[in-house]
Amino acid sequence: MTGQATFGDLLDSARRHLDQAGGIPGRPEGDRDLLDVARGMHAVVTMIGRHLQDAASAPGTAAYSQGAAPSPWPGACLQARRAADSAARHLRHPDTPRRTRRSAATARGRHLIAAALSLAAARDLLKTHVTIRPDGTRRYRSGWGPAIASPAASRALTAEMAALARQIAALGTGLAMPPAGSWTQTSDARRAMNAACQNLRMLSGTVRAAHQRDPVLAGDRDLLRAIPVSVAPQRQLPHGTEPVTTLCHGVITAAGRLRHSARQAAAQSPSSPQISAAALRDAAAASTAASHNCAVLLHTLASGTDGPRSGGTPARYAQAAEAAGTARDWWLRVARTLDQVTSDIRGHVPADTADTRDLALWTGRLAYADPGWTLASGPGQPARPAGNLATGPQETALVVAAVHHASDALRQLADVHHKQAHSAARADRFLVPTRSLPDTYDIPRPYGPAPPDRIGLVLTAYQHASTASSEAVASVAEVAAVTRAPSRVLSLARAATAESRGEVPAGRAPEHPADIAVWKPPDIRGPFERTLQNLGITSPELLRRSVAIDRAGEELLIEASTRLPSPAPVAAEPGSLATWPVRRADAPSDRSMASTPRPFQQPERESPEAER
Amino acid sequence: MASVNGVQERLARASGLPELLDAAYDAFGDLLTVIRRHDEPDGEWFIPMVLAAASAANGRDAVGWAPSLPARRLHREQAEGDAGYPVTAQAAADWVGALCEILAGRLAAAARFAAGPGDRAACRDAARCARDVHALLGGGGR
Repeated sequence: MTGQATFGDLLDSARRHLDQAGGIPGRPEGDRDLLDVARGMHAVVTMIGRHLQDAASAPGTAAYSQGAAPSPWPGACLQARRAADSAARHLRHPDTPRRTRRSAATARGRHLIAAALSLAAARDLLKTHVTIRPDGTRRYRSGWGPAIASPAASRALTAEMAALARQIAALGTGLAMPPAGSWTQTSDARRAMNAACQNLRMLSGTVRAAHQRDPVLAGDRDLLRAIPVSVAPQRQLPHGTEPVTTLCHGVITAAGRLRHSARQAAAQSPSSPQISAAALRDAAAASTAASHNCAVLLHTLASGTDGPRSGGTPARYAQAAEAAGTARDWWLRVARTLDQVTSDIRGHVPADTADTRDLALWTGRLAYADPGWTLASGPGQPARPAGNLATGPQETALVVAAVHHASDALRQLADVHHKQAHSAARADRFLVPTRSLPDTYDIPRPYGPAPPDRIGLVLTAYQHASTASSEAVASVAEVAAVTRAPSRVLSLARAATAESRGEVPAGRAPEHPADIAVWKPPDIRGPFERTLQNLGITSPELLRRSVAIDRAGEELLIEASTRLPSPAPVAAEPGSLATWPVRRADAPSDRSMASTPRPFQQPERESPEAER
Repeated sequence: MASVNGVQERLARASGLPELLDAAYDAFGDLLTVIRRHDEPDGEWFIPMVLAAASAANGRDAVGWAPSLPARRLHREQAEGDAGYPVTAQAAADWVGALCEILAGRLAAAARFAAGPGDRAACRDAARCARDVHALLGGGGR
């Protein structure tokens, strides 16, 4: 939404390259070509293994809930990792020089290498949110960090990797098969690739078995896919001719920048020159304006809501507008209380203050009819008409997403500035001009310590602004859920973070089958069907039976995966994957799934007759 | 708060830096008082008023850092009540705009001619704040 790459973009890129590799007609000619493909597959499988390793070591802080059944995911993840390692060992040719492993001679090999690079970039993207300290502990560099480390995201990551492994297995199986009537040509290279594909199918089956017992939710998958790279989006300013959709994206980008700078501000020491009464004041004023604009937007949406068409109700929008208005009122109170104090240094304009002004400008451009609206625009500023703001459900959802992102960024700023004000107060950095004190004060300096009652007013106002901002976000999140706004991932990230920190019970049971994530199987023929076709068999009956055997083989693998011996216990960090509980095994919905396991979605393929 | 014209007169007639800083400090305080009377969310000038208030407070603090600012007020005649306050938001914006124009001009000049670096920096910062307030409220809403 901000033009930044997301994990899902890179995953899709990898998948596209695998599709393209699978779509290349013909077969490898001889072992040389097969080795080229094996090199590419090795690169992809290696990256899958690394992602699985990350998923297994993610230090979610979910605690065992009392009486919960153990989760199938720790074991599945460990077995999947071993399977990936084993597949990689089969695919690695001892004679391949290290420097040539990332170059390919064939188009198929090049696509596989490109897929591996996409997966490597996806892993790098996740690592922009988390750094590992020398002592091995993690430091989150963005608000996404705890969500990435959550059991929900780790399960989704494991399942995504399993889906890719399944795709590669299908691709490799077909390529490793000797040409029709040439069974004697089975070489070591083909045998190694076949063995690797067996491992990959086992990997996939193991994870799919875990998914059947303890499903990955569609929302968790959406959350993983929406994770952006952790860099501040480039600053943009409106030029006055933008359509509503561009303005919405502008708001979202500005909110992203503010979140980023607020996060950096949170890491400042209490004595930082970036913390000053002037900076806090400017930010509070801009936050008041941005909150006000959000309230205006929600009021406009409320006035244009006609129920099902826009996916919401006027009452819900009005409630969100009221919550935004309350947040605005408390930001205004913060600004007013800051009139009464100053700080021990001259004010600087830190990044978060500038970003808050940008957010106020973008939300204003979206909220008001005047395309040239500025923060200095005075009286007679009508709101943008509802019909112009949101012309349909999709447009409504985008406006809601913009408001949701803006509110979320302001909430984060309120938290950070509340803490900054606290630490500044503790460090005696709030002062008052001695000229403002009664004459009974005899202080021969321009400034003296701020009286506790004035500091108390500031901190109380911040406390209320923080609470009101959180309530505004929660209220807009409800509208976002109803309108299916793309900003729903913000709520998912907060839920995953809360789960990761142990603030809520781990695991959310699916309430509806549509809540469960589904991975489209690769559109590649299974080994029996492919063999029959290579042999020139055209009988619809025989081909149908081959498809059935391929499917039965997959089901057998899944079942076998559930009976594998338990892997050696993982040395678990508190809250790591190994301590995940299964989702409320005593919940009715969970029991129903346990008693009637859902088969993994089968390929919806045309019948052999239709293929003719 | 002195009558609105009184503040302007003090700024205009201040002959030395301490006197100018004293008047500027009070002028920013008066700006803040007037602006805060018109920064209600249902007011037509709401957003410009809120942002202008922050700049006015920052300007006051900037003057407060000037080494030549007298520790005690030089001008003690403070009018009580609402005498001289602009009643409407539009009148307040007009008054603020006019005062900031004078304030910015005098402080910018002082920033050039003040002897000490602390005074120069304080005047420069305060002049910028006055210009910011003027930009928000002095342009008639555009």
